[in-house]
Amino acid sequence: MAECDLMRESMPFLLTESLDSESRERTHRHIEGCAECSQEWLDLKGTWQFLAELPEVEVPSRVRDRFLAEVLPPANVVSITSRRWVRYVAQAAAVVFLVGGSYWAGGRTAPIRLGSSPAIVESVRPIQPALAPFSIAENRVLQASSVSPNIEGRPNIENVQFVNGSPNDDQIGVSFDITSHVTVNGKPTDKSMVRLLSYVLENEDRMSPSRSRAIDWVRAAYSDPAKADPEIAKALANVLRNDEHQGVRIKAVDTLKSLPPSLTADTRQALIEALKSDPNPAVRLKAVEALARLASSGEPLDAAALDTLRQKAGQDDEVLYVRVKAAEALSHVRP
Amino acid sequence: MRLRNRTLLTAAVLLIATNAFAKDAGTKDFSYTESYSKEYALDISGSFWIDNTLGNIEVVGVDAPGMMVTFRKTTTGIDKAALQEGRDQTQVYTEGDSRLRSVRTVLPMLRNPRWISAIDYTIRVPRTVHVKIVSHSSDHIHVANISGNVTVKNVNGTIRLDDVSGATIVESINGNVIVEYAGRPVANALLSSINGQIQVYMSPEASVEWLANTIKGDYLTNLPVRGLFNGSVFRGNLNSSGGPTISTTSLMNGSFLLRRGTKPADAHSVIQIMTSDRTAPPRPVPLISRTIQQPIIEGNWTFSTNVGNVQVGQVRGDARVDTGAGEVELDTVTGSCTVTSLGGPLNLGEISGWLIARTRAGDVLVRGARSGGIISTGGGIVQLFYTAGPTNIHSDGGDIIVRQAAGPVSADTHSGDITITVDASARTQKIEAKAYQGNVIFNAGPRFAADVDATVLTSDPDSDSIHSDFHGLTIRKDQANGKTRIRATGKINGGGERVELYSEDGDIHISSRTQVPISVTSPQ
Repeated sequence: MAECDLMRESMPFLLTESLDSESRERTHRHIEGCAECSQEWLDLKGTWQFLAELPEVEVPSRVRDRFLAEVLPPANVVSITSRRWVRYVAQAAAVVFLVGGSYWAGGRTAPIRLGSSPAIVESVRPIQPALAPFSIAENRVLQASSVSPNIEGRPNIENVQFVNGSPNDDQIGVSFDITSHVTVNGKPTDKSMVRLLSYVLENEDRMSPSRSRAIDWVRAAYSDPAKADPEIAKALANVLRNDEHQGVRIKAVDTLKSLPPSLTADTRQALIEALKSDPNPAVRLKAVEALARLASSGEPLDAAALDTLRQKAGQDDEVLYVRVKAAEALSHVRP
Repeated sequence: MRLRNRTLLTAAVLLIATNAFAKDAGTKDFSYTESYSKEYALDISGSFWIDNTLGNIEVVGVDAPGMMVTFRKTTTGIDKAALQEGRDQTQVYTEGDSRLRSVRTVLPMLRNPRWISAIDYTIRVPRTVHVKIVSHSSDHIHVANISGNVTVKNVNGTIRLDDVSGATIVESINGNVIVEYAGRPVANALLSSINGQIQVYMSPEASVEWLANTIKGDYLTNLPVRGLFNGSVFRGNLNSSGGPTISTTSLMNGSFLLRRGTKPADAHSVIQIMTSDRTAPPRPVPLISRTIQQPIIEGNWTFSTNVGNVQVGQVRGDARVDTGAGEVELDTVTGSCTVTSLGGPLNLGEISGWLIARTRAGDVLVRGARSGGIISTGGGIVQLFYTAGPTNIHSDGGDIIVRQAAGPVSADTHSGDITITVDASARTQKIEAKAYQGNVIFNAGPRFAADVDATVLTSDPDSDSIHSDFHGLTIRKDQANGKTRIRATGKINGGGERVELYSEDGDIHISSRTQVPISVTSPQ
């Protein structure tokens, strides 16, 4: 037990790497063999790491002074021996202190007059610039001073290259690909959120496990008219046009159908194209339903849309349900 | 050489103003009506075209050369500035020469909603000319006494042709089409309206072939027409064969072939006539368009329709539904259930017996297939909440989602993701999932046991596309037909029923997440 106490006393020095090699080795061996000390060591190490993560806070000067006054030895200390003349000197000093103090206190009540003097700039400190907004970018160049020295977690770093642009200066560079998991929180109507989701929707082969789920999520977030955004609609229209995955196209057109009808012309055109030529009947069916919804809401349909709907309604080899829905859409057309 | 005579009539000084400038006190709108009339040369063998966005058109044939155009332009604006803008931006152009004369109403591509303008035309032409009319909306378009060919196309408004003896083509979207022959028809007529009705009046002595088509309407006549159906198309003859063909296509409404001087109410359905004619040999007749909405049906039930929706709360027995186009919604079926649709979504609730649900296009949602069954769509998403029997699911394109499989499931889609979640209590279950262009996601409890054979065929040689939470799988990668094949095989939790997963150009995820069971209401 006595050895445990001794070892625990050594732990802070072990943390700060202040022990000599022999003591360090002995302490480590003890920690490995003693469950209680091992736990103590883990706790201590955790606390130490936690402290390292805490932000540095400026100590108020009053507190610092008081602390220093208590811990530091007083300067020029003279030992006072019990001598009679010393007592007289002390009493005289007390009298001088009382009289002088009274005079000084009285002077405080008199108005203070400050003479004019030129202002002197003693030092100039740059104002801390406001943090630039975090940008989700393919390439980014950062100054080392703007990168936190703490690396959080274990990000995957690949494709590392060392760059020394100019050998004459003392600058070095290291470039790499980093995989980090980013969580962006915000309102669905935040422009950055809209842009991010539009990008996610339009960039295939990056979704795991399924882009259909992403579209489902977008529908849940944006089908409320108050949150609807033309950029989301446009991204879905691009998915509808370009995605080879029929299941994804079905989801895209289904989501477009659920969005408020005030779509952009581009989105409307994507629906027309899908109705005209998508090989999947479910895509055509949902496209014509979306157009019917559009027409019934009073949105005007242009000549191309009318022609496509007319052609679909009369197309014998088209799915009957699509034909009926095309006819329904046309019945809503007003001058 | 064609003479091009473009006249900007609205700006012309030749306006004969019937200055009906008035302010409507009730609506606070301002309106202005102006008229114009001019004569043009037009050969008796010439053509006349007119394109008018909004307003009535009257074309009358006379036995004289030349063409007289009269129009009345009415502009309405919410204030004087809007009115003036509407007047300025509504223009009439006449173009062409004596062989082809055209009149066009020209409006801006994007019209200011603060004003609206309509132009009513009355045109007199030689009766032998060919006439072509294009219009968006009007109250009516009327063509009378023309022996040349007539083509009319519009979106809204009634089209009426009187005594038009030349070849006729009429295409409307929402307008009714009425054609009345003064004598016997001598030329073919192609009359179609998507949502409007078609009425053709002729003498009972006329000889014509009547070709009629509809997807939701009916064919009615009060003339002695005989014929037969080929699918939904009726082909009949009035009197002797060999006359011109009158083709009427009203997709969502009725087509009438009527004796002159009678009314549509006097006509009977050809289908009724044919089915009631017991002397005639039995002939196939098309399905009737109808819709059903009923809370409870006692006993076995069979329903079929060409076009129509089905909405039934409960069938206490077996159910069999056939529809050409429509939405089918059955909440509970206590017996077996067979639903076949040529197009439209299927929404089925608790099916106690064997289920067969097929649609040519549309999503299929089944809340519970307690005995399993077959579900397929020609394109659409299939969602099955719960199945307790062997179930076969197919989509020609679309995702397949099985949320709680308490029985064997076989699912395949040509393009889409497949997600199958095995019932949490199942220790082993036979599962087959094939996505020919998409991902396969298989969820089972951590104690689920199976012999797994998962294959991904991908164009990406660096792909690492099989992810499994279960241990015991051996993953191999090789080349097959120019593609990379990744195969994971092995026993999980000691082995059990075969789980075969296949994905082309997608990923396979085998997950051991714990599922929350879906509560399923017991059938009554």
